[in-house]
Formats: sequence, structure tokens, C-alpha cells
Amino acid sequence: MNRIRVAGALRLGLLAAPALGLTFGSALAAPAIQLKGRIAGYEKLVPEVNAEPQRSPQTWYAWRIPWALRARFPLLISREICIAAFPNGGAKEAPALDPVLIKVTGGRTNPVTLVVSPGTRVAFKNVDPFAHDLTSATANWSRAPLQPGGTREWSPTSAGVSEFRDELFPSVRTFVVAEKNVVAFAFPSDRDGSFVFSLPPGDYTLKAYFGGNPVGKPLTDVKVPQRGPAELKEPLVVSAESK
Amino acid sequence: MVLSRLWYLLLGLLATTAVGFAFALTFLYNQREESHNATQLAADSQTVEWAIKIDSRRRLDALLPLAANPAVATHATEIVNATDATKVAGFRLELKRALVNVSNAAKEANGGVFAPDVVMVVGRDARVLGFQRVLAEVGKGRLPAWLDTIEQNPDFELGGYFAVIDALGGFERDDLWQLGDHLFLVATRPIIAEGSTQPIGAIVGLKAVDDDFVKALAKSTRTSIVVFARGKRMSAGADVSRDVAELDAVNDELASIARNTEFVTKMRTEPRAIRPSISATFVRLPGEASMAGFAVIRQSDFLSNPLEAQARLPQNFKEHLPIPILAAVAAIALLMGLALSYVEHTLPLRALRRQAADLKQGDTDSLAPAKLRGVYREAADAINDGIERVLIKRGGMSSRPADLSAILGPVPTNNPMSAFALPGNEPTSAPASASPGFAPGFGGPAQIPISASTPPPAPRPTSPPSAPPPRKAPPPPPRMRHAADNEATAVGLAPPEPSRAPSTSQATEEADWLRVYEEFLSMKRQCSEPVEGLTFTKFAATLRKNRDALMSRHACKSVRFTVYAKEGRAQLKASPVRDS
Repeated sequence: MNRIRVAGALRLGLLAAPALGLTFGSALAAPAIQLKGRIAGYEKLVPEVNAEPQRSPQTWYAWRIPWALRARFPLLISREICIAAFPNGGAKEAPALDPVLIKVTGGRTNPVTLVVSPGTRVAFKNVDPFAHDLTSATANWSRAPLQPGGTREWSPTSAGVSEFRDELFPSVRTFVVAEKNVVAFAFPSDRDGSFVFSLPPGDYTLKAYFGGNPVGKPLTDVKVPQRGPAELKEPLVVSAESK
Repeated sequence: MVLSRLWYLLLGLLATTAVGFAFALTFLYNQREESHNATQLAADSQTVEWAIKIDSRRRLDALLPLAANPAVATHATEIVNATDATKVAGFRLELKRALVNVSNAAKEANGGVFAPDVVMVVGRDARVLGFQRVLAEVGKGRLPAWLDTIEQNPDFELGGYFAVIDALGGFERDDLWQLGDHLFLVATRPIIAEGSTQPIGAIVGLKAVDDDFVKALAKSTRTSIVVFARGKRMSAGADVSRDVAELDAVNDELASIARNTEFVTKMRTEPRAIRPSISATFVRLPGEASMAGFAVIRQSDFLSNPLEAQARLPQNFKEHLPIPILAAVAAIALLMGLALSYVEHTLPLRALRRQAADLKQGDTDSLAPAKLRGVYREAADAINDGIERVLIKRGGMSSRPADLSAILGPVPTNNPMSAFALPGNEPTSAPASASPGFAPGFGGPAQIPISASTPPPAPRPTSPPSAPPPRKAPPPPPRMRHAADNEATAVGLAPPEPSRAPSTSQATEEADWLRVYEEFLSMKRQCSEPVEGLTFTKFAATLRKNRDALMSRHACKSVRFTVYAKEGRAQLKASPVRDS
């Protein structure tokens, strides 16, 4: 069992900067306690969409030459990894979270992986200066161009993974994971992998999701004290080997 | 005639063969042209592909001075590491100045050939830190207007693009992006701050694949190129030596090319005929732009018929013709034709003309068909028949065989030639049936063969012929001057042979008959006919009998008998002589 140190309570609004490692969404109305943590083992994670070009390089580039001394894949974990909090003690179905905004830009979406409860409204906004064409084979999504500045809402009706792609940009692969009892989600910081949750006191399980799938070893006995903030002593390991 | 016609047939066959050969050569040329075009298309597509790869390499190299510029790296680092947001604007301005400086340097390097249209500096989180048009003057109007809004868009980032991710990971990399309706060749390089081993950011260079770019590419590769993406034509260009109109030929193919398995999996198609004379090869360009590529196009120079080849022959084609051989063939053909014409037309005509001249001058009484051939012989025969008919019509004499039945009268029931036959032996031949006009009394065709072909079964006569021993055979009887092969009895002027002239005395006639008898015996021996039983007395009696009949019928003074051979048998001919 993880020992949680409560440092205080913090109530977060709907949208916070995920790059800063703050809680992105929450469905809890009770006074929340700030829970800090960090992830580890993400250095070897490579999104499938980025791994595919390495398998068939002739399709993707003519020149790809290592220039730096230690060339490696720079995973932007703030977009790629989503950490979800599940209350322990029963399979109680959580209500829908507050609406979540997914920005479409730069050849992908921000975030790439999102974990919410069914019924949560998800808004796709095109912040690129040109059109996108999102499609989905798994979600109830009718295809229509997403013009610059345009927004389109959608919400998962049941648990499951919905994948969105862009016909114009093969690098766009977005995963919306609908879990029944998700109460909050957060994104780690690119700088050090830290993340922050705002949760009511209680026992929780933290899971990391990458590429639409859970990765690593969940933290199953996370206690959020009555007073905060609290900080996880152990990191949430997200590498595939620790599964 | 036959040779001439065979020559015409040969000429016809040769002409047919020549025309067929010309069509076969046309087919062969078109086949070669098609094969050549396919090879050329493959070569063109490879050339363009390599040219684009080399161009990408050069653009990566041209980006190095920008990525390695200390000012760019320093200011990018300042922005990325800034904790005070108020200072970020200042850092951005410094970065902008640095980009302007390096862009100007890049514009001057190599004449700006490989310089990007636009450079962007992105931070570690792939957000755009700086933006600068490098070839602003050139690119103005060709680039999308939204590029200028990037700097003011705080949400805009490039972190999803594989090339940017790779650059942030320490790779230099090329790519192909389709942003909106524009296609860009992308080069990315990491920006590594001094003293660091990991990139602080990346620099991204964009080059628009517009008509200017493609035209330059087509000119350098001497090809016709259409660049497309997602079934839509993006830009095109053709070398000055190529037909620009052929570029439009591929437009209808672009919509379906993304469903072509070869294009998707093998990155290129085989040469495809998109119009009867236009072929194209479609090559998929590597990069993130989905289903983007280029088509190289070639127009085949097919011949629809052999005559079209003449218009396309080069000016110096005569230098490659085997003139002596052609002249020799023509001369041989001409000489062969002339020779055959001379032999089969000129010579017979000359002979006919010569005979006609002789006839005209009275040297001959008729033409000599035997000396002519083919239709000329038939014509001579017809002319001779015409002359005869005219002579007879005008009461003249005919040189036709005499109607001896009319001369000698009806055939007696007892064979008049029985005197020549052996007792109990009938003539085996039936000359009368072959020449019913002749009197069977002479027992032979035409002119009375006096046959003794079957030896008498009776004992041979004990007494030898009363005739004197045979003398040397006299020369053959004279013939007409025209020397025709007319062996008929001439009822007309007898040849002026004194020895054969009728004698007033019986002794003279008997002597003459004796000579005829000897000639007849000699002729029969020559013909290997039996002469046993053929005595002069019987022979003379028969001649006398026939002489009397002819003299009374024709009121002639005498009758001349001559010996000849026909069909291997000795024959006698009786000719009435009217005057001396």
C-alpha cells in the first residue's frame, strides 16, 4: 500500500494546462485534495504511429540520419500519456466528466490519449490554419471536414476505446478511452514527468494509458487524505516491461 | 507470253511483299516505340525520383548553417528555458533577428537554389518559436497566406509530424507534407545548444512544390512531370522540348491512382497507356503527405501507316540508303522486263512483220505459222485461212489437201488397191476413215497409202518383180515456196520438173510410173513395210486406172504421181496436170 501524504486541498476547473502536469478534468464536487506524483519508465515508449515509419522507411522518407550524439525518440509525454484515477471499493459508475477539449494541430491532437467516463463531452477543435478530416471506424462519428477554427463535439456512449484518424494527416491517431468509473485524469509534464490530481479524500487506483491502452503497473492503493496536498512517494511506472 | 506474265506475277508479288513489309516495319516500329517509351518512362521516373532525393539532401545541407547558427541556438534555448513569461517576447524577437540574418545568408548560398521558402524554429515541445520567410520575394504569392499567421497562433505546433519528432530526437530528416492545398518538401534538423548532447529544438525548412519548382525539376531531368496528392493535381511542368499538352492527359487517372496496388505498395506503377499515344508512370513520393506522388509522361511517336514515316525521316536519311543496291535492283528488274518483252513480244512481232512483208512482196503465198509462237502463230494461221478463203471465193486454186474422193470418184466395192494387196489380206489400217475424201483404191489416208503391211500367208511369189532393180531414191518432191508443213496434194500448178512432165507416149509414162514404183517400194522399205507381192504390173494398172479417172473428171492432160510418207507409211499422191 502506498503511503499518501496529504498537503492540502485544491479544486481545479475544467481546463488546466496539461503541460504543467495539472489535473485536466474531474467529476468530483467535493473539496479536492491536490495529489502530486510522477511517472517513470516512459523513455522507451514509442507511439505506434511513430514506430510504423521505421518498419517501412521507404514509404516515409528518403533521408533520416542521426545527428545528435544520442538520437532517440523524444516522446512528448504531456500529449501521449494520460493518467486516470479510479475510486477503490466497488464498481460504482462515475458520472460524466466536465467537457474536454482536444486540439487538432501539428500533425496530431493534443492530447493523443484521453481517458474519460462514458457520456463525457469531447470537443475537437482545429487550431491549424488549414482543414482536417477526422474519421473514426469505432466511434459513432460521421465524417466531415473540420475547418480552421472549427469545433466538433462528440461523447462516448459506453465503455470502450474510440480511435480517431485524419485522412489528410496519417500521423494523427487519437484515442478516447471510456471507462465507467473514471473520476479524474491528468497528464504528466514534459519536463520531469510529474503530474497533479485534484481528488476528494479517499482510496484510488491510478492507471496510465498510452496509445489507447493501459501501460505499466497501476498504483492500486492511493489514499488521498482529508488534508492536502499529498504526494506519491513511488512513481507510476509506465514502461511496457513493468506491466 | 508466259514468261512476261510470270514476270508480272513476280513483280506483283514483290510489290505486295514490299507493301506488306512496310506495314510489318510500321508495326515493328510502333512496337519498338512502345517498348522504348516504357523503358524511357522507367528511366524518367527513376531520374525524377533521384533528383528529388538529391534535392532533399541538398536542402538538408542548406539548412545546416541555420541549425548550427549560435544565435539561433542561444535564443531558442532562452525561449525554451524561460521561466519568466515576460521575457519570452524579447527572446522571440532576438530569435527573429537571428533568423533574418541566417536566412539572408542561406538565400545567397548557391544562389538560393536549395534554400527553403520558409524556416521555422520549434522548441522541445514542438511549439513554433520562430518563423521566417527565406525566399520572401520569390515565394510571395506562391505560398499560402496562412503561413504568416503561424507566429500569432499560440496553439500552433508541429509536434505530431514525424520529421519534427525525429529532429527533436536528434535526426536530420526529410519529409513531404500536404498542408491545406499546398505540398511542401520538408527538411528538418535538430538544434543543439553548445555544451548539450540533446536537441533544444529543431529547425524546419519548407519548400513549396509549386509549378516553378516542378518546371525546374522537369527542365533538369528533361521530363514531363505532374505532381499530385490525394488524387488532385498540385503542380506540373515540362521540359521545353516536350509537349506541355500531354501534362493534362493524366488528370483523369489521378483520382483512381490511390487505389492502385502497385502505387500503394511498390511505390510506383508500370508504364500505363492513358491515351493511345500517351503513357505515364506514377511514382509515390515518400513522406507524410498521404498518397502524394508524381507522374512522368511520355508521348509515343506511333505511325498509323507506312507513309507517315516519310514525313518523319531526318534530313540526312539519304546518306544511309544503299543507293547502289537499290539502283542495281531497279536496273535488274527493268532489264529483266525488257528482255522478256523482247523475247516474247518484239521477236515474234518482227518475224510476223517479216513474213507479212514477204507476203506483200510476193515472195511467199502465205505466212509460215511454224516459225511463229503462241498467238502470233494463231494469227498467222487465221491470216492464211483468210487468204485461202478469198482465193477460193475468187475462183483461184487452193493449197488445201485435194478432195480425192471428188477427184477419184466413189470408192469401188472391190478395193482398187487390191492389186497392191496380197490375196486374202485386207489392209489393217483404215486410212479412208481418217480421210474420207480420198479414194480407198489408193488404200491410205490422205493420199492413198498403198499398204502391204500384212505379209501374205500364201507362198511368196516365185517370180521376182518384173521391174528393174531399184534405183537410187530420187529427191523428195518439190514443195511450195512457203515451205509450210502442208503435205496435202496440190491441185494446181505442178512443179516444173521435166522428168515428171507428162509424156505423150505410153512408154514415157510407163517409165515414169516405174520410177514412182521404185520410189514407192523404197519408201515402204524405209517405213519397214512389207513389199512382197507388190508387182509393177499391178501397180501400173492401178495408176492407170486412177489416171484415167482423174483425166476424165478434170479434163487434164496427165496425172502426176508422187510418193511420200505419212505417219510412218508410204503414200501416193495423184496430182492432175492441166498444162505442160
